[in-house]
Amino acid sequence: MTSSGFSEKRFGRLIQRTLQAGVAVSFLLLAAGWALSLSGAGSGRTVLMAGILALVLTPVARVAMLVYGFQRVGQPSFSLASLVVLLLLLLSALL
Amino acid sequence: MPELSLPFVGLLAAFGFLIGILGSVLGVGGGIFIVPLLVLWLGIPVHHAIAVSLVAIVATSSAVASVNVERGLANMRLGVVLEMTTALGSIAGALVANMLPGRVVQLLFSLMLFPVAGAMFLKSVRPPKPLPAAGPLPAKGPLDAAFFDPSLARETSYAVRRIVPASMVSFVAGSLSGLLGLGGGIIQVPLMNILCGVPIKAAAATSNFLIGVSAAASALIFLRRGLVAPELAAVIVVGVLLGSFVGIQVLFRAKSERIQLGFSVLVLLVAVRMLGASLEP
Repeated sequence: MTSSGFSEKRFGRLIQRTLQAGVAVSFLLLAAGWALSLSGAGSGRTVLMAGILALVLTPVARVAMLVYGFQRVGQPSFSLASLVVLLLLLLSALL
Repeated sequence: MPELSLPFVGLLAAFGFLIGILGSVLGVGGGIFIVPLLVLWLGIPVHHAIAVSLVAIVATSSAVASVNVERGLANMRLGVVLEMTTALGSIAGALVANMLPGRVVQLLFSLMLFPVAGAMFLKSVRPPKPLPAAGPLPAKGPLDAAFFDPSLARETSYAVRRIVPASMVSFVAGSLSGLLGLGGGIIQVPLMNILCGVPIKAAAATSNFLIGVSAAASALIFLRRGLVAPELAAVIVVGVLLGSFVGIQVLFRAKSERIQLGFSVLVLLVAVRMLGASLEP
């Protein structure tokens, strides 16, 4: 199941880190947005919105990593399935 | 939309925190509590409430899934296959929700709560039995997987069956998610467990994994229509996120049939109130 040293375990860790990074970035943006809002700065709302957007884009980034990861572990059919999901997510952002 | 004063923000975050803990303890997403809370107690329009709920579901799913993927509990191959129809359903559900008047969506939501309360009640009186130990698996299929179960202290492997009907039911689960702001785990977990033969722990983890995608697909539609109030969503999301972390760490073992029974009654009461509110002249 492995190819060029990219194991299933490494694949799992990549997905885990993508999700953790997305949640952490959005959490920081939301906290910063609140701090700005409470201090009366006008940019608070924009930063909060950026935090929400970062959160909603976290699963999108995770699916993009699945496209890459399944390709790396030599399972192209699942990579294709992930690509379909990614395209559906992009479509929903445009509807 | 109510004015977000500091005490009110604190109260909302506390509610979010409580909902996050409840979600972890009861094994249900926050949606069944977030939407009624915002609609019935805060008078927030149902479409805005659904949007906040979807963002909160993305948050808890992403946070919890990161742990489950690393443990090997979530079956990513099965997850991505079901995500195709779930995301499609979720998009369709969100589009339909945005075409329907708030009153109709609220009515549909309250009607959905009755079977949810029923399912929780059944779970409390008849907890799901673990699948009998399977014999050696035949030829390994592409979706089959294995995970280490600490409670059994051994590796549990399983075969995934009936993926085509499961994908169809997943479409329905996704539609409900987009239409009503629910995660859909209430359908996905029994679906994977009973129809596909996935052990309950792996089914719950895989359901949580794919729910993030379906909630994100519909959240993007609500976002584009300006239905996500950032201040409100931010408070609830932070509360729910912290609550689910505490729920996972501290209360994981506090799951009891009695809690399920108590909350099935609560969900039933919420359903009746929500139904009454949607039918008011």
